[in-house]
Amino acid sequence: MVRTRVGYTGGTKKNPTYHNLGDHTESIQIDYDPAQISYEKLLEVFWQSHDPCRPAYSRQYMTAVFYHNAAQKKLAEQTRDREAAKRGKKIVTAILPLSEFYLAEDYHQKYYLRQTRELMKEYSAIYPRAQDFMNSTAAARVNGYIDGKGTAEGLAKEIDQLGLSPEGQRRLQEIFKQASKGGR
Amino acid sequence: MKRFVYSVLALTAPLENAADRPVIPPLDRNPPAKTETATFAVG
Repeated sequence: MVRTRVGYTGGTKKNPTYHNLGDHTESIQIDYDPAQISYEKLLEVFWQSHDPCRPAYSRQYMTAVFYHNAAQKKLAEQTRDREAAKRGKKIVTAILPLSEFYLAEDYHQKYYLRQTRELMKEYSAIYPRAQDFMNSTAAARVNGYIDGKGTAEGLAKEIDQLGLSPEGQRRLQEIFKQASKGGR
Repeated sequence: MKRFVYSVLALTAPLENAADRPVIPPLDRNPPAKTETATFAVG
């Protein structure tokens, strides 16, 4: 995973905002290095990270794959069918062509990291511009660790790569430990 | 002459202590040249 950003897509309203979303769906875009991870592997994580058989409450919170090209569409459909066979249930997660993707407001990007004041202070000093912060691989990974995603071994291995001070590193490890136990 | 020297000194003086400047995280320094993009909605 190189970069992540959250935003709105799938609808027809021009320039949606969080409070004026129209018919769009909250979504995440991931820039990844295909030499490191395949689209199929990302799909595998996607199918495991939600219940694809449960109908959405609203268009805003619909679950979907927005494919960028024919190859992605084919893999999305193949993995959906495999998932349906495995679960023995109908999959309701939509597979749709990507239309325009509108970035969500800055305060939604790297949400968990933004809520962690002492770590956010360090990244604000490194990246005063919101766009640079949003595009930071390190910030994206810290955002995930704060939510308890990843492994303790993975964090220990790359903690020196994240740009945090020794105090920031110690704090992140504490937060991760608590969050990965389900205590965040 | 004195004025010139002061002007040059002002131009070449460091604006801040380099040690105090935040450093770009190593993980962000060499992003891959070629990436692909995936888009999902997870509810």
